[in-house]
Amino acid sequence: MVNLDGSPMAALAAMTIVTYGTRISGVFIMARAGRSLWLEKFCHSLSGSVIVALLVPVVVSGDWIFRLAMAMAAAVMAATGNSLLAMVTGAAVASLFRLWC
Amino acid sequence: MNRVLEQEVTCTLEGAARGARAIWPVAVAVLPFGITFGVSAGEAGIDPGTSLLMSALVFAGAAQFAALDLWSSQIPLISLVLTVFAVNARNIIMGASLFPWIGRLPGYRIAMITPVLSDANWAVSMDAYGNGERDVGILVGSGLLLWVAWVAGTGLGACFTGFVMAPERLGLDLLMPVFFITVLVGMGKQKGIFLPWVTAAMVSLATSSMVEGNWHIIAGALAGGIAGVLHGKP
Repeated sequence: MVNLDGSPMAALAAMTIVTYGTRISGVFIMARAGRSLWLEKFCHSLSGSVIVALLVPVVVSGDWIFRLAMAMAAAVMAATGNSLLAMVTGAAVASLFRLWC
Repeated sequence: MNRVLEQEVTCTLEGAARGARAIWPVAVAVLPFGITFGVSAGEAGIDPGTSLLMSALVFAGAAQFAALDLWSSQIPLISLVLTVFAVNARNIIMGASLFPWIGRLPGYRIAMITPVLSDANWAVSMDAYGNGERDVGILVGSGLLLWVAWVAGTGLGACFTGFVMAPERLGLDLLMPVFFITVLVGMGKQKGIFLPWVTAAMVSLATSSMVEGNWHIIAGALAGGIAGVLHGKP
C-alpha cells in the first residue's frame, strides 16, 4: 500500500479542492448536458426536492419540541409570508419549551 | 423553451445587499456554530491558524466537523477526501439547479460565484429566482455574510478556548431547519411540485435509513427531479 497519510496542510488542500469541486461542478455538468425541456422540468422540481430531502429525515428523527417548532414556523410563514417572523417564532417556541420541559 | 435563459443576468452590489438582508438571521445562527467548531478544532489538536484557514477555505460546517474525527499527526487523506465528498456532494445538485440562472455566464465568473455556494444562501437565492430575481449578487452577498459569520465564529472559538456555547438554549440550533421550512412554504405555491416533493421525501427517508452520510439528500433530490420530469410543469 502506498502511504497517502498527510500533514495538516495537505489535508487542508485536499478538503478545499474536493469541496470547491462539488460547488462548481454542478453548473458545468448541466452545461455539458445541453438545454432541453426535460432539463428545465428537472431543474424546476430539483430545488424544492433538495430541501425536502434534507429536512424530512431530520424532522422524523427529531423530538416533539423540534417538530412543534417547525410546524409553528411553517404556519407563521404560510399566514404572514414573513420569513424572519417565522424563524423567530420557531426558535422562540423551541427555546421556551426546552426551558419548561 | 428556455425563456428564462434569455433574460438578462446581472450581478450588482444592491443585489448583494438584498442577499445579506435576507440571510442575516441565519448568519446569527451560524456564528455560535462557528465558535463551537473553533473550540472543537482546538480540542482535536488543531492550532487556531489552521482552523481559521480551514473555515475560510473549506466553508462547509458538516464536512469540517467530520474532518476533526480523522485529524491526527498523519491524516488519512483518502478517508478524508471520501468523507468530505460524501458530506458535500449535495453541492453538485444545488449547483446544477443554478444552471438556468448562471449557466450562461463566462466560466471565470461562475468560478468566482460558486465558492460561497452553501445550503442557506442557495435556498434564499432559489426562492428569489422563483420570484423573478436575476441578480446573482443575492447569492454572493448572502454567501459572503454566512462566510464572515462562520470564519469569525471559528476565530473566536479557536482563540478563546473554554468558550462555552449553548446555542440550543436559545433555539439557535433550530434556525437553519426552520429557515428551510420557510423557504419550502414559499416554494409551495408553485404548480406541479406536490408529486416531486412527496417522491423526494420518501426516497430521502428510505435512503437515510440505509446509508450513512448525506447521500439521502442527493437520492431524494434526484428522485424529486425525475418525478418532475415525468409529471411536472417546466
